Amino acid sequence: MLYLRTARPPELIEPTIRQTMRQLDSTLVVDDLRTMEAQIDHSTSDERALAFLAVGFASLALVLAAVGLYGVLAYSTEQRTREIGVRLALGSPRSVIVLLVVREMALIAGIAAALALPAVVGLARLFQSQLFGVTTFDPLTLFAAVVLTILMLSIAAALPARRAAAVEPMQALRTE
Amino acid sequence: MIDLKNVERSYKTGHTETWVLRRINLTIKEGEFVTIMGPSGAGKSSLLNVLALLDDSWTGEYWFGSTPVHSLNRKQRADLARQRIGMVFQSYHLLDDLTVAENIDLPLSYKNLPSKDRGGMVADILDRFQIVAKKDLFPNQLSGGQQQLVGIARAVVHAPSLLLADEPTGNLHSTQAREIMDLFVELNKAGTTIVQVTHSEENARYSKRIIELRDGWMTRDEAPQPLPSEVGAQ
Repeated sequence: MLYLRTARPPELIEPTIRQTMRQLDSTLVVDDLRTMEAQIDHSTSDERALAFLAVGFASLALVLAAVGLYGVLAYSTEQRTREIGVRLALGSPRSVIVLLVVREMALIAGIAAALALPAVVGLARLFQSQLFGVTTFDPLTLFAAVVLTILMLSIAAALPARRAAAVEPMQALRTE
Repeated sequence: MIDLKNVERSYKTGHTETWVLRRINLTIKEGEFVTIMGPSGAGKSSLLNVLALLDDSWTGEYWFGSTPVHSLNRKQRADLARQRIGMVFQSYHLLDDLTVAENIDLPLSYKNLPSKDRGGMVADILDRFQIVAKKDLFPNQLSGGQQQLVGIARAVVHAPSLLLADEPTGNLHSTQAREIMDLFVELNKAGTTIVQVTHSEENARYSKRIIELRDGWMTRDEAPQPLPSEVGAQ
């Protein structure tokens, strides 16, 4: 293996290298010429693939969590149709009904956060030795994760909240 | 207090339109105790839902005092109902995970009242209905009669000028039913206008006026007839 440093663009000196090698020994084969960037890129390809895979699984987990939360909230809203009807018949503004669903979402999110945050702290220590150039508590990454989670939770809660607000008290009270 | 002019209500199922209320013209004065009677499907509950402002899809004119309900939007109707109307249901419709006191507090919680005032109003009504001892119990710990008592307490805690009751004694034993009807008479004497829906002739006689509906049409509007035994006693 041979490393060369040059001030010129690397692709321009490839013929010169081949010619020089041939002059030194005509039996030598010059193969797999790469720039240093390409070499670094090649050597970290496994880690990159792993990172892509991790991002993919994390995204899938986030979507599944959102779908799961949507399911829970939709079921809970359905179960609470009579209660929502009673509240509306007793004068509850529809915004308060939306808040009922949002409050339930916040409760679930709060429990999830209470379980997840200590796990993040614990797992971060395990990964510390495998990281280079970034810390396990990168504020930007953590902030982005929190924002993304809130966004997904809001999307998951939007439809059940809308359904709850659209309940007709007359029909809800009839269904028993 | 209430003036309905040509109120109609129908439901569309496919290409068929089923009428549940036909050209209802009805005036209810302040302090009246009115009973709406009629066979099943006659439109009694539909009329009560219109009066309660729970139904928006009717046509005609509805005046609540000097307020033209027919010109109000959904939110304004909800505001009016919140301020002026109390509702009692056949199935009580108490919220199972709230205590008696919390159930009674529910309509007040939607009225932007300070919690201290609300607490005082709930305490007053608990005392008036003699259910102070039950205030921390949950609905499933009460008998049907007691649950309906709480339902009525919840309906009148914010002192509505109109109390609407849909089959208030439908699920009760006759003794409990009489107690509930006596309570309605008492509330009516105190100035609350009451409109009840019932199948019971006996309960209807507690009111001052009976309206009968058949197939959506108003077919009778008169004072209740006394029992033959009552006529004999006179």
